[in-house]
Amino acid sequence: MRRIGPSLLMGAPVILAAAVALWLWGFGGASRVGHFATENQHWVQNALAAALRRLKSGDYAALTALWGLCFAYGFFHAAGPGHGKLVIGGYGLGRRVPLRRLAGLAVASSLAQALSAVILVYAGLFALGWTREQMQGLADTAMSHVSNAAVAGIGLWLLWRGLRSLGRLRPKPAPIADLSGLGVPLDHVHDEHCGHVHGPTLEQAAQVKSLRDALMVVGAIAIRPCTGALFLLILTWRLGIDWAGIIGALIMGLGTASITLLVAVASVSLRESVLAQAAGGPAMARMLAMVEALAGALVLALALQMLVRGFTGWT
Amino acid sequence: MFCRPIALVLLSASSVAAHPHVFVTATLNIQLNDDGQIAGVHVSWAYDDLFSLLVTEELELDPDGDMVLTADENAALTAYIIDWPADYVGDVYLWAGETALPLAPVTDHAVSFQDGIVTETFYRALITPQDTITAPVDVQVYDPYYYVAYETQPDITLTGRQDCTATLTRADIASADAMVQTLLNGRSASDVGVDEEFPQVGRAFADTVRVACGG
Repeated sequence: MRRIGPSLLMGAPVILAAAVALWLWGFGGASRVGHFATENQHWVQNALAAALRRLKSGDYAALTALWGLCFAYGFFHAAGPGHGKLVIGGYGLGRRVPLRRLAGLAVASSLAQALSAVILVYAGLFALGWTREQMQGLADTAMSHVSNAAVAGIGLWLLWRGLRSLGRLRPKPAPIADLSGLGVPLDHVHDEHCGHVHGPTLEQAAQVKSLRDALMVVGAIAIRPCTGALFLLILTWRLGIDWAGIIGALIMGLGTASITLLVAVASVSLRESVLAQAAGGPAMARMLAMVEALAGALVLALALQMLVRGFTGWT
Repeated sequence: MFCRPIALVLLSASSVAAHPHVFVTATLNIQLNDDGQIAGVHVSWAYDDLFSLLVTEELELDPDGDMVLTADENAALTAYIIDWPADYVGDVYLWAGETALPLAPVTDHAVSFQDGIVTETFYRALITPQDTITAPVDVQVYDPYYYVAYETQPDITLTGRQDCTATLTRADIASADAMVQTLLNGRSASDVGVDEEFPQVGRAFADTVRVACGG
């Protein structure tokens, strides 16, 4: 453990740091990055506005910047304090988990969440049959349209709520006994960002036995679209570049999924290499218990590194 | 300002949010009288780029994108921003200890638009001026639901008396995050039902300006 443990401690943050650096220095904003994920989000939000303004003026070269920033927005969003991704890493260390299934679910649920944002915005606008031209011709009454759109949104929202309580879409995660007493929160500290979940937990992944189960997990996560994506979609609709916003929302989803993937891959890889060393030996059972115990400590250390010192040391 | 313009977004976010989506820089000018009492606060809120763009696009202002508004557009923007909902108290709080000091209705309400940034300015007078010599008064700007994150500018000005100070203490974001987790009793924010009132955690994320005179 001593040989490998520290390498994860160093490794995972380095991977994350590289991703952060790529997205920030690629857009020249590293120097402006603050100490907290919310400050990063603030910066990305301002940069998004700049890219949208360039697009508005017909500068389509700004598309790559827009989409890159969408990824960064999703990434920072998911990397924020109190996020469940780190705990997912702990589960990955403590248990044999189907990594590929988790990865698939993470990507699928993030994309579905982005799609639900698209549906919410465009159903709200399309349901009442307006075109942008109609709205532009009625600029003086634009506000009544906005409130009508809100009414349409309420309808959609009520429909979702009904479906949700009917179908009990959100599975209750089972407590992970192996990590109890190690200070790892049993109720995964899921993301409070946007008031929604950005990815499946490992138990959810482990419980998925069929396509129907998978759809339920994805549906439960997708049911609350991200506010950032809604901002983007409304703005791009206004600017007449709907497609840029829809693609951007999907890329935002990939940004959030990337955090889940990074942490899950790093933790499962570590666990498998530790197991390989001890395979077949009499100490196997004790080793497994140790791995489980250390998983809690590792994820705490990782969490502290990422959250407390966080991005400050990397940018 | 309450985020009324983006009603669609609010629908999905108002009931559950412990994470800001609008960022505002608050600049404060503290008004004091000869007796060392705080009489009121001039407030300026500069909205972030994205939110400013969202509002101006929502109102279909600045179609040429040159970030300069016509007089009519300025009037439309102003009318829209200063139209606070009836139940909106204004996100500015003055405290004598833990007692909230009652504020008079907003006055001098104005809106400007420069370099793509929407800025809202106004004055909040205390109904009864509050002494700051025997005990300090704290000024805070925050959204109780933390949908809007206000950051107070460090250069706080004081008007009306020479021997007064304003000391800015930044919010302890890490503690505030921890408090939110405790409040949720181990649940995630996403598990709070859509009908459930989310805890009003905003004050924990607020900067504090302590005003004292005669020191």
